[in-house]
Amino acid sequence: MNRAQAIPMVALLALALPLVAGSPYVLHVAIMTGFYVILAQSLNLVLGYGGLLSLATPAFFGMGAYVAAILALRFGWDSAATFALAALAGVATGIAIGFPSLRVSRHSFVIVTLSATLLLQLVANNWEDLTRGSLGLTNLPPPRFLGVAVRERGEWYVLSVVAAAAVVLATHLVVASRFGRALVATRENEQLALAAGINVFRTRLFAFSLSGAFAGLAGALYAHFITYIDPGVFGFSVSETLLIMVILGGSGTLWGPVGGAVVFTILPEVLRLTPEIRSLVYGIILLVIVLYRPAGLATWLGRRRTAGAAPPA
Amino acid sequence: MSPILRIEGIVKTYRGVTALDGVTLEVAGGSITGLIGPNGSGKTTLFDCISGFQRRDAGQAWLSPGGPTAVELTSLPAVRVARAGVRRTFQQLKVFAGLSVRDNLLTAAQSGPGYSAFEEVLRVPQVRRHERLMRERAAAMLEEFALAAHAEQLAGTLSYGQKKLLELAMALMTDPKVLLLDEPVAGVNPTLIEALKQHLVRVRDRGVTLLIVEHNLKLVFDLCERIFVLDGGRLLTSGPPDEVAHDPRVLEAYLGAGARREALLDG
Repeated sequence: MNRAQAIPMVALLALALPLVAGSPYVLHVAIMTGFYVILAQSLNLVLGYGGLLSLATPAFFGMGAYVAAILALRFGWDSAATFALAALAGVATGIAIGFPSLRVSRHSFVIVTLSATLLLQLVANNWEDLTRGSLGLTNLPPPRFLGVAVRERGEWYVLSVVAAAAVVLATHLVVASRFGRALVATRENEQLALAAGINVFRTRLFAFSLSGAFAGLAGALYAHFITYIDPGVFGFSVSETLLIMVILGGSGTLWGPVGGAVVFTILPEVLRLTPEIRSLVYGIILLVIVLYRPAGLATWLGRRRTAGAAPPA
Repeated sequence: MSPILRIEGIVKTYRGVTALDGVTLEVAGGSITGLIGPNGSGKTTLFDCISGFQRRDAGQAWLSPGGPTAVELTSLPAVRVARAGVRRTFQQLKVFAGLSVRDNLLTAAQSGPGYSAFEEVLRVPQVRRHERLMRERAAAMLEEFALAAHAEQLAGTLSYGQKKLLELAMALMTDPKVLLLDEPVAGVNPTLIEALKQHLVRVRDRGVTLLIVEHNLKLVFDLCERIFVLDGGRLLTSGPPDEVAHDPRVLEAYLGAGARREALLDG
């Protein structure tokens, strides 16, 4: 068995492991890992391939979570519809934030995406009729897709893996297309991209909206899985975690952020074994990776990076 | 030859400084035309105004003027200028450093027919056909510009001269009508200058009109059928190379009063 065959085999075995050997706790972590893979890929599209430091991923995530939660609680709609609308809410948020912010400089873009996200958090905190403010929305029902409910952790695990795989596949299709090449071109050199007839603004807006769709979907999954959401879903800490996953995983590669999501979802759980020095060990591990694999864990695989250079700081 | 590009009274000021003060000129279709002048005379600014990278304050630039397909360029954004068939290169050499040489060429062909992002991602048949066509095109370009051995290399790792060749090849991927070249041989060794010169002649023979800004005056006088001289944002003079080379005003603009003509060609 050569390496090209070995990797998918090992991956499949690893995927089956939580189902076979899983305590509820292990399964819980495994399910959350799937959500983080989706979120990491959402950020990777904009940051890794588009070269834009977006802090708006929690905005998409939170909008997806609230849209799915409100539709399920108030109207009891089928999840096939509410999840689609959650993804669409992410797209709409992407367009709403992207339209003004993608026209400004890269530095201002960071600030605008952060401000817009905090603004949405304020709205979620204060529009109490709709969101119940800081009390949050509780008792979300299990999702029900065309009548089939997802209740057990095992079922949730399958849903999480399928959703994450679909997002990774979608990302692959996007970045391997002509559009993906144009997106990387806008990252590499904006002026040259313009001179080559690439509509830089529209290319970025499309990537940003698609990033919104991914994170919106993750929000819907998360809300139903945890059965409770509050305005914390818009929090900056979501961006922080995702930046670690994407950059240290390997930004601008397909599998790097997947690996980053797996490692940095599981690592904090493993470190619970040493509660006293947990943060210290976590910090040291981050530092070691930054020092020895600055372009991300993906470089350990020794493959040529799918889209070249590191993203701009 | 009828003009393919007519520039009429272009004015551009930056914070009160006049970079272009009503420049009017015509470029004949199928020609190699030179645009020279001392540093700061407004050559690159003129390129920027025509190609949509700067907004002019007044004036117009017509592609295929008078014809049924006439397009006014200065009111278009850069993307639309490129799609109208006017491509440019930059004084500061630009390639997509993190893409392979082949992908650079393919990316440069992105502007062909405008597909939507959805069509591109879903690879509808038209997109696939166009992509196949462009891949053949890119392969031909790689051969023509002696870059085939480096096709899969990241463009950032090419030598400076190879990047210059790549830049030219990229600009040619979509059969432009007019190519605006900003210092195509700057910083290039004499052997490669000769090679680039032959490339430029071949490009012209293929029907692409070239407007060249260049400080290597020997190249300009050798190649160009007609030369425009800018000085201080105004057109100083124009004419065939012989005439321009012997115009004392050109000498003076470049080197100051009393300079000898030979000094111009050595520099």
